Parts: sequence; structure tokens; C-alpha cells
Amino acid sequence: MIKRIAIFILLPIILTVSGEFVLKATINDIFSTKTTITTNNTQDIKYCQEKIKPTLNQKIDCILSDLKIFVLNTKIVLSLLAIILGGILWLVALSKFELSFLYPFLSINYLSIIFGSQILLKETVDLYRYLSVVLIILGLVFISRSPYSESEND
Amino acid sequence: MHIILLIITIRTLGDLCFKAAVHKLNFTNVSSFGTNIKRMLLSPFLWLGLTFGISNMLLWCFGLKVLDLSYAYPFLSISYITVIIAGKFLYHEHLDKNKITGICFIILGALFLFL
Repeated sequence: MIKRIAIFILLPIILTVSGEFVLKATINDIFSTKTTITTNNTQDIKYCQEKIKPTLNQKIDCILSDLKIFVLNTKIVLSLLAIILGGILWLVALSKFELSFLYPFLSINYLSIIFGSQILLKETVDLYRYLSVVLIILGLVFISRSPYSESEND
Repeated sequence: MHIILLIITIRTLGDLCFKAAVHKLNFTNVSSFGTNIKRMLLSPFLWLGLTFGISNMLLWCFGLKVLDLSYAYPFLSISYITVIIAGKFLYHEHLDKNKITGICFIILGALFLFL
């Protein structure tokens, strides 16, 4: 039983959470260094960083250049794949365990994301964000307690 | 901020597409497995759902570029609510007191993010 929990429940959670952290850290990295090296990089589109309101065409250029960064960066692609794989494994878990048993485990996701954001990503996490996560977890517990959460097939 | 609302919409639409792709399938016996898989792969909803899924991931990158993870991630829980409500109207799924209480807590939690 413990082995099954570890494989089917904890593995998707670990994949999702670590994927989100690597993704956010990589994006932070890219866009904080980008501004400092703008002058050496002729490829960089300058007006994306400037405060002046860009025209629609310029806006589209900026979005496309960001998109190129996202799709070509190995770390970003790998972390996205980890998140997707975590999601698929979670669906597998949904087919193996009861929903009311499974949903409270989702709170691990929320708690580790919010603690990790504060400790690893150095985000300022105020009391309201903690309260918000606690309320969301309570909400999930209620939803999973619904007698109709199980299969609906007539 | 607007990007989060867009992501929630796309996520909900994607989930509904996946549901539409599989809800008429019936895996009661082993012999029907092949036909079921075939029907699923031929459903346009499956491919529409996958398209929504991929755009959702890319939009999430754009979202994280401007938002904190500790802000954006809890916000996505709003999509549980939109999916439950859509399930009620499209598939006549049950909406009981427990689910409504849960929805209220999640809405309250999301409101705290604005403070």
C-alpha cells in the first residue's frame, strides 16, 4: 500500500512541483539577465524592455521573440514535460484510488509551491497568500467529500 | 492579470474537450477496447483538447514571466469551479451541498490573493 502511494501519488506530485519550480526559476533567470545584456545582443528587440507603449506590430514581435525563447530553451521544455507527465500520472492515480482519498494529497502541491516560492525563489509571500492556500485546500476537501464525485455513469 | 483569466478559460475548455472525447465510450468488456481507442482518436474533441493543452502550457510561461509563482499557482484553482459548473450544465453532473461549500471556500481563497 505504501509503495503504491509512493509511486502513483507522490511521483506525480514531485514531478509537477519540481517542474513548476524549474520553470519559474529559468524564466526568472532569462528575463533578468536579458535586460542587462541587451546592449551586446543585436538580436534582442529593444522596445520590448522600454516603457514607451509599443505599437501592435511591435507587441506581436515581442510575443513571438518570447515564444521562441520558451520553445527553444531545454530547461523550460523539460520542466513543461515534467508538469505534463505529472498531470498524466495524476490521471492514472485517479483511476486507481478513490477521489476522496486522493484529493487531500493535492494540498501537498499547494503547500510545497507556496513554501518553495518563498524559500527557493525568494518571492515575498504574505499572510494573505497563506490564508488563500488554506481556504483552497479546505474547498478541495469539501469537493472530494461529495458523494457524487465518483463515477456518474447512470 | 488578464493572462490568468485567459489561462483559466483555456484550461476549462481543454478539460471539457477531453470529457467530450471520452464520455460516449464504454469500456465494459475487453473486446471493445480497440474500437473505443479508435473512436477516441477519431474524435475532433481529443485533438482540440490537446491544442488547448499545448497553448495552455505556453500561456503559463507568459504568465510566469510577469507573475509570482505563489500568486499564479493558487489562482488556477478557479478552474476547478468553472469545470464543476460546466459539468453541471453540459453533462448534468450532480452539484450538491459539499461541492457548493467547496466552491465557496475556493472563491474566498482566490479573493484573498487580491488583498
